[in-house]
Amino acid sequence: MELLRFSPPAHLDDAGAGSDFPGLWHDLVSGLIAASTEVSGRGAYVNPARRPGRRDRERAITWTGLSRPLLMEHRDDRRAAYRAAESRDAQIEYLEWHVEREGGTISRVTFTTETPEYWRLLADVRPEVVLALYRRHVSPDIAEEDVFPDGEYDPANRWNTTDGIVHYIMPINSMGDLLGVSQEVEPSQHAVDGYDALPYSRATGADARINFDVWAMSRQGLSVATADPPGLYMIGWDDSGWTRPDGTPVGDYWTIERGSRGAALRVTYAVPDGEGFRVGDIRIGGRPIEFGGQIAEHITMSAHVVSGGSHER
Amino acid sequence: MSDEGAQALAALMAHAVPRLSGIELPAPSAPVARDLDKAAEAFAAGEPRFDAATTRDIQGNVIPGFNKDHQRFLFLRADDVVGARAWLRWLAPRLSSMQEVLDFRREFRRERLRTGATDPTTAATWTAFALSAPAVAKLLGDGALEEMSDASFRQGLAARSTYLGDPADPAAAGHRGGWRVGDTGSEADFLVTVAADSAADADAQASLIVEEASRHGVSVLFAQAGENLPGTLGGHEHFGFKDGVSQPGVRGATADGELLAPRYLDPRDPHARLFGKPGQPLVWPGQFVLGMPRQDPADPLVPAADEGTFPDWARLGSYLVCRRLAQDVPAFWDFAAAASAQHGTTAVHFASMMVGRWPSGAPVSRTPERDDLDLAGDEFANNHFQFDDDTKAWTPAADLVDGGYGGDPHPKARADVFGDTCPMAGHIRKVNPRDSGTDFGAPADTMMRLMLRRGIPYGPVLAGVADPSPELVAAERGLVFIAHMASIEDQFEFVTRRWANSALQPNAGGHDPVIGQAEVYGDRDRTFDVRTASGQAQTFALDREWVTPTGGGYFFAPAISAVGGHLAGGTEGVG
Repeated sequence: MELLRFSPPAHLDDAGAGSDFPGLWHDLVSGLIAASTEVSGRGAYVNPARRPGRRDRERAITWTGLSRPLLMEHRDDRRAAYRAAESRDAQIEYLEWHVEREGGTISRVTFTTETPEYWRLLADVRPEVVLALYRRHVSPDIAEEDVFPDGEYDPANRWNTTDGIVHYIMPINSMGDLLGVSQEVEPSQHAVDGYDALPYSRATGADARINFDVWAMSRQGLSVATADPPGLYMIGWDDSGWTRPDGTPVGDYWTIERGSRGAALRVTYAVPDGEGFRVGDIRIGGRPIEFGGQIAEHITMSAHVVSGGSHER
Repeated sequence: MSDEGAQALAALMAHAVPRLSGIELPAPSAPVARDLDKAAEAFAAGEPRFDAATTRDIQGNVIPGFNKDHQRFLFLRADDVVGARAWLRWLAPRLSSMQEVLDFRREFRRERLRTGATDPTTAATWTAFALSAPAVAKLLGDGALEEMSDASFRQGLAARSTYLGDPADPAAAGHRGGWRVGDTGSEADFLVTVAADSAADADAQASLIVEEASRHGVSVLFAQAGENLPGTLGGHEHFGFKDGVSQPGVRGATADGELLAPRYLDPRDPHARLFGKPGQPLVWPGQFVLGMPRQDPADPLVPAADEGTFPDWARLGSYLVCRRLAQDVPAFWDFAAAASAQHGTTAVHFASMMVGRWPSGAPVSRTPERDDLDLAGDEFANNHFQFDDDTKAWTPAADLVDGGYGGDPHPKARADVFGDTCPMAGHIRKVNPRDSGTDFGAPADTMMRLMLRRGIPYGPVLAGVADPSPELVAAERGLVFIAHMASIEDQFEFVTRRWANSALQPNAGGHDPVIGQAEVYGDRDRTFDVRTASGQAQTFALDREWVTPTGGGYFFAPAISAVGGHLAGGTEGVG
């Protein structure tokens, strides 16, 4: 069995041919995963770059883009949950978004699953590429000192916070957090099934989903590893039941700006100019879109794992 | 219809399921100390006490459910608000309470376990009432409607139809414009349910109610008879599968010490505090009845910190979702037959993987290769299985053993994390992922999604009929889906849209092949993944739709005192 070399998210090639970036990225990701961690039962979460193993079955681990903690906190007032979710600080399901409005009406929402680790490394290796990508995706007016004050990349620059979005800024959204959660040990250390692992204290859907899936596979004696490329993706979205102002179904207003269908990293939702209305004029199940979180609620997130090893019965 | 599909359908349930029998539970009139101990333990664990006033007030079809063979659903319109209020005053004392139905169920449960009987020996006719958002506005005013915290209820089923995956094309079957009842403008104000042990009793009670209603300016928009299927198919839906096997158990006990969901696991069993019957999760009553303690998002053993938001008059009421779902039985079995040939198995096995249970109700997870009528007939075993791990043996409670239960000898479910045995998208796995994680978290979250289902088939049976006439094949049949819950959005709509209609959630592997719908810019393609013997996913296009919505509504079933009181006497209405 060969050791794996980790590829950049969605196999992006921002740094271009001949760059050191792929090797540095591999080292960065590998550094976030222990060689092997006994997470639950007889199996383990392993680092496929350091521990060769069978990679028999891939599994998409999926969850919902809107904060589950907010939905639980506001069980009787969903609108309050959407409102609270507009703050990037509350966007804790590995999906962050930026809302643009025209006269108070939403005109565009941009979603990202890109990690700060990726952008920091790219800024180290190819700062001019980072600036070019900011200008292409956020605004052509971006000055170098906005993004690189004093020559250092600032992840919390205004074009990634108040005036735009490029990658995660919420502290618990990162590649390190994804891989850290994946290596968490089942707290009781002797749960024999998913019910036994209750009560489960973490509130996000993402953490629970990753934990419970990895633990379940590990209890079967499987070794579990991240699929390649490691990362967080928008695997899909569901806009059925979304209607235009005249009540007819919406068209496909999603644009994948980075990544690909089924593995999207950066997506915008905006109504094409010729349609004569804006995102805020769309209704979801009869309710007008007032907040980006109403769209995030219908985005399905994913991380992928592979498993293999002795599946003894 | 293909020969293979027709043959499989005609041969369904040729033999009756041998029901568990010979078990003597303690007589209800003289509860043994152990029963009271169990209730005392439940109270000590914080479970609510349903006092006599409460059990007289909650409607009996919410808890514990009518579960009668003959039901009549009356969709009514109030043309005269003053008259409607008078009719509500007449109706309220005729509604069946939780206590009345509990008393009946207690006796019938003992009888069933003793003799294996599927029908009670004593008769009862029961009535339930619910009202829609337009009716709340008519009777109490628009402001009162705004106080109902469930936004989906306020909007109504028709407004949420395409959100639930129903066709957006007005020309398509299933579009709300073609519904028998419930499109915008043809929404019922009231839904009255009559349940009886004979069709004659049901019809008589329904006639009485309609007659009195008509005297008060309340007219029938639509009426639907629901009938349990006959013979060996009793309790099954029209595709031929046992329905309603899995229902949540409601936590709490009456003031007399009667647990709403009896505890059949030995207290030393690791899952004793999570389940009533094996595999029946205990859920806090506030998930179904407003004003009771509800489920905590993280810990199934403690109630949530608050009971939710609702107007006073709605306390002890329950939201009700009604969907009239037409079933194209030949299409379902044609597909199962064709797909099974491609997969290399029988039509019945393939259809059972689509459902997650065999026609008898035996779970595929426990008997992967063939139906098992003995397992199906053991009500303590037929719902005891998990998906992610090997399911352990369970320990019956002492009173069950003393009563004569010999234990669960049936083959156990094995870990099935990839859906090799029960496909990820198999209907029962889609709508209740049990022990698995989901897109919304841990199994504790799944317990917040469960509903109390009260559905019943309508139309003539086709399953099990040899050489059916073309008229019988073509006759309309389906299910009156009825479910009670505390939040339409977080329970019925969540399970429908986010799970059944999704190829990715709660687990990737296709759409629910029974009730799932999908619409992507007019394209209604759905898929269903089944694992081959080598573990590869084989994807089947679900090329026809065999479940079509044809009507229904979102309703609210108030406490009986509110029907005859606040709703009947409100003076703030606009009528």
